[in-house]
Amino acid sequence: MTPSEKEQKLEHLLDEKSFDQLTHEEKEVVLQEFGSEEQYRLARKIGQALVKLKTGLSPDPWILASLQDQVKARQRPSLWTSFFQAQVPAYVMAGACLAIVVILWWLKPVPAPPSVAVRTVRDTVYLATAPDTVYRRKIIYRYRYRYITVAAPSTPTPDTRLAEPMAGSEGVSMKDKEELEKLLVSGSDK
Amino acid sequence: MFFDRTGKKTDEELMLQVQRGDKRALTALYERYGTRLLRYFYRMLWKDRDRAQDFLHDLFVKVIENATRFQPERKFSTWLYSIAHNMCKNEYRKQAFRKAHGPTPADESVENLGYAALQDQQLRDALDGALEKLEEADKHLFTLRYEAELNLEEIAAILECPEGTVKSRLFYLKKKLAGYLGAYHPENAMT
Repeated sequence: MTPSEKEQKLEHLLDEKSFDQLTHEEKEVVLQEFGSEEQYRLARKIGQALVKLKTGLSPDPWILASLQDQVKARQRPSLWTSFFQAQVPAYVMAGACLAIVVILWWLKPVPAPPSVAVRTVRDTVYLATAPDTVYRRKIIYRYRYRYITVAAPSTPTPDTRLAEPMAGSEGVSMKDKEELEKLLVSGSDK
Repeated sequence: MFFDRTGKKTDEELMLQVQRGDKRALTALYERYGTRLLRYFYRMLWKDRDRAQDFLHDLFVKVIENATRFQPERKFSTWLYSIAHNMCKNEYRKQAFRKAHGPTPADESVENLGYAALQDQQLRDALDGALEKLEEADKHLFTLRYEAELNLEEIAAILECPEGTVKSRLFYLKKKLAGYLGAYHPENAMT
């Protein structure tokens, strides 16, 4: 048994057993520690007296009152909390609402004219120069007229025939000629 | 209050409410510990009633001010008595300084009281005087055990030592007191 265990056991014996209730081995331990039976009895009596030795004090009422004030002071609400938790009479609230309505009516804004919005739009323009030279394949002389001069009577005889234009010998039609001239003047076919 | 349930809550739960500024929670804690702590201070501070009342007040002010420092995983009673013990230690230091720089008090040791008979009441009176002469550590142990009525586990947590050590120290305390009182009249101590 270690010294600490021995002390713990003795403390237990002091609490639980009188000297007469101790076993032979326990008495030996007790006498070894206390020196005498009387000392053990006294120590036991002291233990019992200590339990009863309570001071009949009770706290003064001012302490609790002061502590509650302390908590209250620390719990003091902020300005905003006070504002939102303030109690307001109904007539004051009604007056305030009325005042707000009147003020809003006075401050009602005049309808403004529709605004003209200037809108700038950017776009990409591709410029293409018209071609100066026009290649055009055209048959200028389509027909070649052949005139046969006849000195004979002006009245046609059944033998005389008016020469008809032959293919490949035709000339330029007026329309084509005009187009050609137009083309030469403008330099473009557009 | 009709729906007040503070009485059913644990100390730690109440302390969390105190952290939020709940006045009723503080009152509940005060009602649980006020009297025991007053006795503790009374015993620790040379049986000075007024000083004990002041210390009790100051202790709970500290609890309010440091409420946010309390960790719920720690036992409230341990925390509370640790603060109380520190306050007493500071007071002992001040007292030691005053003694060192003031007039020497008259010797009022137990041995000089001269007990005629250690009957119950006389024994208590003698004990009362003997306890005043105990060293700070012994007095603290006695007060925690017998005035504050804390169990061994709580005392061990406050003193930061194993329960076995608390038991050993309690045994030595009784042995020491028996030595004080029995040295002169052991024959009167028969049960």
